[in-house]
Amino acid sequence: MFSLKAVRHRYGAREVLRLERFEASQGEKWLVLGPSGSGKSTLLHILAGLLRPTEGSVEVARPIGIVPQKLHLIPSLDVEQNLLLAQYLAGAKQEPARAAQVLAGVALADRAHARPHQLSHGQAQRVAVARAVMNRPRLLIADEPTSNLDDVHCAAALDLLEAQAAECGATLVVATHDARAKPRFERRLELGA
Amino acid sequence: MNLPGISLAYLRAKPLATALNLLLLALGIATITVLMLATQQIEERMGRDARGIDLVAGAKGSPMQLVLSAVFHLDAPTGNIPLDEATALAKHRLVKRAIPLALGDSYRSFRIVGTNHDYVAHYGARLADGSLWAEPMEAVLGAEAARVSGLRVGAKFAGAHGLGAGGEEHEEEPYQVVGVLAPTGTVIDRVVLTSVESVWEVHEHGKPAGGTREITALLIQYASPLAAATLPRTVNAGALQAASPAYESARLFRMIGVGVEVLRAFGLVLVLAAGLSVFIALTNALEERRYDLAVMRMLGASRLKLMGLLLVEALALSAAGALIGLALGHLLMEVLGAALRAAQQVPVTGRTFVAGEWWLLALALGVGVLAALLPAWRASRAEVAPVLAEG
Repeated sequence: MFSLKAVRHRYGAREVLRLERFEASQGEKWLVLGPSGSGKSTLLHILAGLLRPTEGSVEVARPIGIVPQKLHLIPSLDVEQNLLLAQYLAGAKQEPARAAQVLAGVALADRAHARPHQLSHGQAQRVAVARAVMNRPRLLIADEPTSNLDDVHCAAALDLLEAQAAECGATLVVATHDARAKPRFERRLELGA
Repeated sequence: MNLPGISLAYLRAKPLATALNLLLLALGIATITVLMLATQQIEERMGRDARGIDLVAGAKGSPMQLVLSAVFHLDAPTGNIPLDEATALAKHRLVKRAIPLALGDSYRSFRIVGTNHDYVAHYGARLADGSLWAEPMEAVLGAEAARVSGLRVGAKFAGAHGLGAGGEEHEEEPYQVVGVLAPTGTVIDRVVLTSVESVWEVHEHGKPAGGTREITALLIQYASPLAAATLPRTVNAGALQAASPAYESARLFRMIGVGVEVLRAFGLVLVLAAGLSVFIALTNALEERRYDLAVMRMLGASRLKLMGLLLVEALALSAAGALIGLALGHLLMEVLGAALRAAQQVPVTGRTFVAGEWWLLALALGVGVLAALLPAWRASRAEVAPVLAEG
């Protein structure tokens, strides 16, 4: 599903990421662990194609779904429009039925026409996950999905990501500094500070 | 979900700013629209009214006043001229046709014009009802005069002295309506026609003042192009004055043209201010939406699509502003036209379109696109990862 070889990334003279090899197959679940500043976000952005590494080779199967840390739903669009936007911007056919199906999968079928500011944080996070899987991604990336969540919501968030990734047959990569996620993932990449 | 849909969602999310930008643009477009409609219609109307009249001969005074009073019936006459001099001029070899006009009275602000049937033929007017006058004190109403006055064939009315409302009425010499003309879209719609003899009868009670008959002016058509070079000088050398409707109309438009240009420039300034306002709004939006734009890039939007998003937003705003402005301009023109029609002035209407309006629409869209170009380019160049990383 993806393969990173001899990847380096620098901001000016400061190297923020160094990876000799990082590869994953379809359906695998990976946890990227590390403290703030360890290069987790940089790695995710490289995987997502938002950042070109200074050195190294990157091969990633597309499409890719991303759940950003701050969720970033578009406030002027309602929930369903946020989901359809993902298809439109990716150049895919817009499928309202798919949006309804995905929303039902994250238990938000009745919130299709709510605006982001009308949602709780938990609901907004589920919408962000729904948006990420709208295009049936082969790689699902989540950046700090459990930050500021209590244990119950932390487990629910990870359950949701795993379920949605399994539904799409996607490889899941979760980046976090939250050690609570550690026992759930057999495959882990630990980045140093 | 598409670019216009997303753009409209953003515009709807800021109703006050959107409304103010629309208002600014609409006011500028409306100002220019009113000026275009008014000048075009007035020019066309004056052209139709003066068509086929090469020269006006009347009493000495302002040539423009002579043309305004005798051709367009908008100003007071410069005075009267002796009938025998007018008759001699009418028989000049360079004159193909001369139509006499005797002015002085009005009915409910519609001028009573003493003339002959050539005047009706000149404007190609046809009777809607009744017949043309055959005897003194018989009158034929122009279409607008009949509509406003409500007079029909067989009705009697008394003319009032002077050309405005409130003049002394000649009750002892009433006119009888014998005909009503169909609308022509020319000045004849707004006058009451009768014979020159009727005017003499009302003012002289059958006896010429000082022993000589007078009329107000002659509308002259040249017998040959050569007349344009010599006839005005011949007329001006005598007791009469010659005035060219074409020349005086052009002079009038040059005079009022300065004012029109000032107003047009004012409208243009409003449109440019609206463009600047759109530019500021989009530049601010760029800062407010940097996360949105980054997320859109994250979701797969191309740089071109992000450019398109801001361009479509500006285009939607400018198109809506232009259409509202055009509609407002036509509405204002119709209100102004109603007021002018009520005052028996040059009739103008908002229910017409001029070709220049397409250019106005293009101008508004052009200003919108120009205002959006820089913000759109910046949006397309924005880096995604740092924005998402800072959260």
